[in-house]
Amino acid sequence: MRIKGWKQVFVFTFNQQVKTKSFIIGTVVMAVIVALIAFLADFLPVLFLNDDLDRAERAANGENIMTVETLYISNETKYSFSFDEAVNAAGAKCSMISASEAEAKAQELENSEANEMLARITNDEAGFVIESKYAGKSQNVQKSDCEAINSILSTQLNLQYLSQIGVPESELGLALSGIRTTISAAGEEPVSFVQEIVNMVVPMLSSIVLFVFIFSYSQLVAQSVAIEKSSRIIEYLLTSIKPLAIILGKVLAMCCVSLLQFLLIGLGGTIGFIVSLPFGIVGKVGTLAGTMTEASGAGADAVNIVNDIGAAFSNVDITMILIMLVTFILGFLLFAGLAGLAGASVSKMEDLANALQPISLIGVLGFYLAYFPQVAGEENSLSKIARYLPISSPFILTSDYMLGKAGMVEALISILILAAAVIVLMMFVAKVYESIILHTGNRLKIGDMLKMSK
Amino acid sequence: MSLVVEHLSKKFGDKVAVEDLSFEVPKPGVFAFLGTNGAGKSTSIRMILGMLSKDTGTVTWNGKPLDVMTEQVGYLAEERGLYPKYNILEQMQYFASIKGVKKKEASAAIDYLFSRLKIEEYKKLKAEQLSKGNQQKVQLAAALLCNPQLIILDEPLSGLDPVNADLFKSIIREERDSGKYIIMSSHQMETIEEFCEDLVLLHHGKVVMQGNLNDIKRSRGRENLTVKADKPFGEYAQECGLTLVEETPNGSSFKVKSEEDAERLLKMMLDNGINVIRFDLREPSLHELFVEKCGGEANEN
Repeated sequence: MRIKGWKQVFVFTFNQQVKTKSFIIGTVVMAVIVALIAFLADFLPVLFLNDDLDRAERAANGENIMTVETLYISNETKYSFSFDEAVNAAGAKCSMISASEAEAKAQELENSEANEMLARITNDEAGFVIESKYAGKSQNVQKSDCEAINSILSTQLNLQYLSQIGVPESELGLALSGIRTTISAAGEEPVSFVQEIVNMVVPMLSSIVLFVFIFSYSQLVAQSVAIEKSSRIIEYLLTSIKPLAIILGKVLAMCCVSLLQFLLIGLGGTIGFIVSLPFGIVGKVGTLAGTMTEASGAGADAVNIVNDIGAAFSNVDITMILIMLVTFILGFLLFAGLAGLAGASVSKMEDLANALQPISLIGVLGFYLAYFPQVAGEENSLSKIARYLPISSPFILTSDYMLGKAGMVEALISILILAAAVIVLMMFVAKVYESIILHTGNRLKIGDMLKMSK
Repeated sequence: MSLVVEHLSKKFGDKVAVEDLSFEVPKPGVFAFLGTNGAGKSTSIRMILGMLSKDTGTVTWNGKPLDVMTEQVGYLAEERGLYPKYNILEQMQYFASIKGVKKKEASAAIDYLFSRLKIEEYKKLKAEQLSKGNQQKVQLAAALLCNPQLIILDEPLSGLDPVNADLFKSIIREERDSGKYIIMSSHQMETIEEFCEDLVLLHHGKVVMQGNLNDIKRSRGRENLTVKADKPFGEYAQECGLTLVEETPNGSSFKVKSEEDAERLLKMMLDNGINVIRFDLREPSLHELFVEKCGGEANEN
């Protein structure tokens, strides 16, 4: 009975809030900014990797992207090698020459504009050496292609040498696969540089975004309560509805308004990303991934970046989204409940800022408790406290779960503690709110409210 | 159907706001709920409406404890307001929804009341764009929106120009004639006399006068005399034992101990050739009763 009518308060508050200029303009501006950020985040890497991606695309379309037209090879070792097939597959013509011809060719290339390259293969006790030179005046030959050819020659040298000394063909793949190495702290998965950046930036951003939404909308709850009280509308409302129903309807409405704004801004980001797909790195890599040829070697950097980012977000699943939603709602109820009390404790709007000061302090303290461990990036006692403390857990739990710092058990414990804090606060609010909502005169202090709750 | 208030009391700390207030509104009409500023009227009204907890006492409507969550009660508070930034029509629809009035009925009621109060053109405006008087009209419409059987009007006419005051009065009259129970608080004693038969007067939280207004006046008798004449008559008034209260261009006002003293003065004036322009012996007005009951201490305060 005490909450009868909360739905009407909810509907009215929600409708009025989404119609305000501040909501409409704020949402549109933020959505456009986030859309631009999403677009640029996808598009800007293309500018830096454009040549690489362009060549990969052309190669995928069956075009010869090799800028070296003719490769002269001087084999000055005692072994016999054949490079024709591999070099032709990469799109260049292969011509074997003698050591003396190579001397002359090297001099000729110094002032040549031809798309030619010379590779002299020698060996000493340390192993094979490939010395390559490309035409000094050529406008087309790209160093990356020369590197690709050197890579092909190296592979062929190793393959054919091992074959000649009797390594069976079935073992050649393993012998030449190379040894990959990683370094990471014990108990942690190894991460790439890109993943490291994502792991640091995303939690910080997530804390800031959650704090801004929870905190700013909590303040709106306080403002709304104070407006009703200072303008005496509350006297009219109380002839039909209990104070608890008013605060409940208001808090839930503001929670939904903030979620709506969050989703609309997120939608802006999604649209920005979708628009960027035909031009952005993700779209290009997606198109190329299936058609890239090993021979071209182009686009590998872009693929690696996208894969690393994908790996960093590998924990983003429905459970993580649910954790975010639940902590957001509970965190909102906690701060909005406190803000509602602050709003009800004043009789004049000009006193509201003072009344909100303690709430702001608690909020900022909670935010920094959550933020600093994320900047430090290390798991320590402060980060553990922040994860379970109700004033900070709404700002840290989602990112901790996403990064694997908190498992399902830790997340559930943190949520239960937060929920218990919200229940205790709501019981306090229910006791005090009805007594203070009609109070006029000086602003009520926390001590006065505690007395009223007894 | 009747509203019965019994032994209502409220203390804020050591301060007694209302002490043992009891009254009954037994039949439809306008009941006057009077008192000086800070006498405890608003506190009493809040307790009657269940907004404020009672230390003692009961409020029953139609024999059952009054519950504004289930009974339709119209209330125009003394310190009233609207949402300044919101559209008037949407506010009215909201007020109707929390009163449990269906959308269609609410629209019809809003149309009727806005037309009756001559504010149809303000429906789409924000409250802050309206004058104070028009805001007051919107608030009266909000109080009457749910067609309540019990209406509490706290200073309904304060701040209104004479035209709008008459409009409000006509609406109050209309509600009274349609069988509504109206409790009205006002400092305009003429208005109270115009509408109310029964009253209760609070002073410092205590009831200092209560009952039927005509009965109260009759019990006091005709003790106020106003006399205007073409010649001085002060010595005769003194001789008859009259106490001079004030002298105005409309005549001299006296307190008389009995009607016989007044008649004796009239006879003396006529016997001495004084032309009597005005000789008005009357019962005390509500204003005079109010000042008498509350004025002395208020002045001291």
